[in-house]
Amino acid sequence: MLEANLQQRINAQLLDKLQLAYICVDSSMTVVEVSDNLSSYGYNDIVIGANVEECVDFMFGFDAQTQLDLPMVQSPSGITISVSLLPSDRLLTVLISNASNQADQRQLLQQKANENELLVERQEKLLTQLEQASEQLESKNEQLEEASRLQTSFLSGVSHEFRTPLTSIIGYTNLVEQSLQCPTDKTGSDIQQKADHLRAVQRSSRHLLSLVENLLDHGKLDSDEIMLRPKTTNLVELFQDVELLLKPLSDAKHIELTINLDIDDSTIVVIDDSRLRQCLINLLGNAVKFTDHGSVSLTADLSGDFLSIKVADTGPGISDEDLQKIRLPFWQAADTGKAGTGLGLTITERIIELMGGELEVSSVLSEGTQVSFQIPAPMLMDQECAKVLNSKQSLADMTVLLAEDDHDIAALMVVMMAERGVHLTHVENGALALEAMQSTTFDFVLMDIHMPVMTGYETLAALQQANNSTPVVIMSASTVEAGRMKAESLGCYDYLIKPVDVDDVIEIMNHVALDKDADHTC
Amino acid sequence: MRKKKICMVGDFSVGKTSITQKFVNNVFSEKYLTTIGVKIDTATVGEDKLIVWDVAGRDSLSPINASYLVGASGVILVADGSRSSTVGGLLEIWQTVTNRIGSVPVVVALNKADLDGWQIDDHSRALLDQQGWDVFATSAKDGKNVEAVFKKLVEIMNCKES
Amino acid sequence: MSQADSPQIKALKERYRASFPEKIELLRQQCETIADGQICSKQRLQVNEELHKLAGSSGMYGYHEINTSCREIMAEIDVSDAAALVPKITGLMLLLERHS
Repeated sequence: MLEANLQQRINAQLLDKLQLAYICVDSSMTVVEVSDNLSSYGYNDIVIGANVEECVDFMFGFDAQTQLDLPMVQSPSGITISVSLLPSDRLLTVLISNASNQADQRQLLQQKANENELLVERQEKLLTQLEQASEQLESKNEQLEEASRLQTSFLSGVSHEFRTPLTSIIGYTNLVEQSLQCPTDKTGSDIQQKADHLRAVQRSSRHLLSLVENLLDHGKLDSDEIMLRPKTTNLVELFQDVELLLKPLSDAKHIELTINLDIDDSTIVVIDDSRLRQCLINLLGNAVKFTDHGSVSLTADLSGDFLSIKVADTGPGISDEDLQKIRLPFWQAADTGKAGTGLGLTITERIIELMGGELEVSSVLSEGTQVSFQIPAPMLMDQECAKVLNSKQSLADMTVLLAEDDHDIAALMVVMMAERGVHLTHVENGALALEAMQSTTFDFVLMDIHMPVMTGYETLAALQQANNSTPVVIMSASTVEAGRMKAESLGCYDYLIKPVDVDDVIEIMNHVALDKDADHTC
Repeated sequence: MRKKKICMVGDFSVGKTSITQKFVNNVFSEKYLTTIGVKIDTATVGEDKLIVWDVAGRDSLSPINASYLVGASGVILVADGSRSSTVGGLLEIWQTVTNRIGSVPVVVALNKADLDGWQIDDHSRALLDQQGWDVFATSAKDGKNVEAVFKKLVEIMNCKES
Repeated sequence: MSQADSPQIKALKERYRASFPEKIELLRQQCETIADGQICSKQRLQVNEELHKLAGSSGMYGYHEINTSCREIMAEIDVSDAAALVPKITGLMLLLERHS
């Protein structure tokens, strides 16, 4: 029996219509009464006397005083129910009604609303990403534009640089041609004039040539094609060479050129001497070019395997504004009137970077300019130096094979090397070289590329396959860089271009001898 | 066997139902079906029988119905790691919880850790750290850390009781 | 090689210089084969071969002009026709002639 007050609140009709079910529990949560229709919600095992917390999951955690509405709870039958806990003095009534219609409607609405909101969130996120992407694109675009602008200015720089000498060549050759067409005046002054014109043409051509060489270097630096080729180098000799080269220039301008070295005469370092020479000539050449009075000095010292170089001049100096631009390709100060390719400093700076240094430039207007850099230059130990310096002895003991099909070249090499204490065994092609190397162990091989029967490349490949590590130096008449790369990929020790300077060969042999000694001591 | 009521709470579509279903029935569905009201499931962790109330998520119109929380001895706060707003929302939801049932044991599940680009931003991370909550990166999809979240909550609840 | 050469080197150089008429004759023959118009790739290869040899040896023996001339012709050999090649080779022959 339902309690009287509840009977008043819920009439039986309504109870039926709403599919109301109920559970009554006492203060200890023991079931005292249940409606018959409870099982329609899946609550089958609720018996009088049982603890409601044990048999109805949603009742766990409540006590008899709890007054609570729990809308839309999924019942064990799957039907969504609404639950009301109605406490009274002695009993707690748990009213259960069918809320499935309400839940279904709500489900439809809520699902749509949530999906919409998710969509909006996703859109916002995408928009943010889109904005970021567009910002990135914009900055990329700016970079590209900058690159294209630089390229255009580079090209116009190149064209400009070519135009001047070309115009001069065309002009002077025209003059010469005209004077040839009317050969009336054959006086000495006419011949003198023609000679002057031709010298002007030569000057312009030489300038064009150096421009092309610089451009090639610049291009190679851009595409990382310039490789350093460090070798053992006597630093003092290198600086003396550079001084000899520049002395005529400074003498002609009545400028004092001094080289201050804090380096021992016998110091040998491992460095790419030709690239270092190129940088020094460039920097000193620049200094001499721009200095009209006073002096240019180079100071170098070597400590802790680092070579520090400073070139100072008493030239006009560079303004702060121009200092920012001097490293740009083709930049030249507007008012100096000095000829140049405008690439020298750019190339020098990049080669120094390649060698592991950084070019620093400082300048005071009308006082002068200083450029300096520091690069790694590993020093050879005393005994190694001694070996390089006294290697003539060890060279004489080396067995050397020459593979060369041209008898004129071979004969000359044999004699010239003999004059330097080295005895050569000569064969005429790669196949014969391989044969010779099978019967005799050679310390060193000099080889031509272009040979009948078996070329130098084929021989290198055969040696590589046979795991023969005898150092092979290629001598080729081809100046194509691809040839060098191919030979290097086939494991050649070094690559010389004909005409070969025998002293270069001797230097390489010194290297081989050193390497060999190093291997033995390891 | 000790019984304990716990509640899964968090914003809508963070994966409360998915985590619960993975834990209770080891099932996962890619389809999103919003929960209306509450679903009640049971599961066993060691000596404890958990009555898991999977409560409808909070959305911009309706807050968490706190009536469902009554009698719970712990909550799992669930957020979607790929939606930082749902991580921030945990603070308000926690406020709702404590207002109604006090500071009960709690663990945090940052769900959907299987998604590409799932990453908690620094702000959210600081916010969670500040609360001193135990945080798990979970995936209802591949099951990562799902069991761990429930086990941790049980551990904290038992620790509090003893 | 500009320093005082040893008697052996001097002899070698003399021998090399003495071979110029022979080299001129070889070049003349090459010119004859290509002079009547079309050059096939095989002929180009042969001419290139001769020039390559001459470039290598002349450079080593200090005849830089000859070396340069050979290189210049080699650089153009694949793109020049007979009408352009023959005068250049003739120029090279004249150079050899002058030194022999």
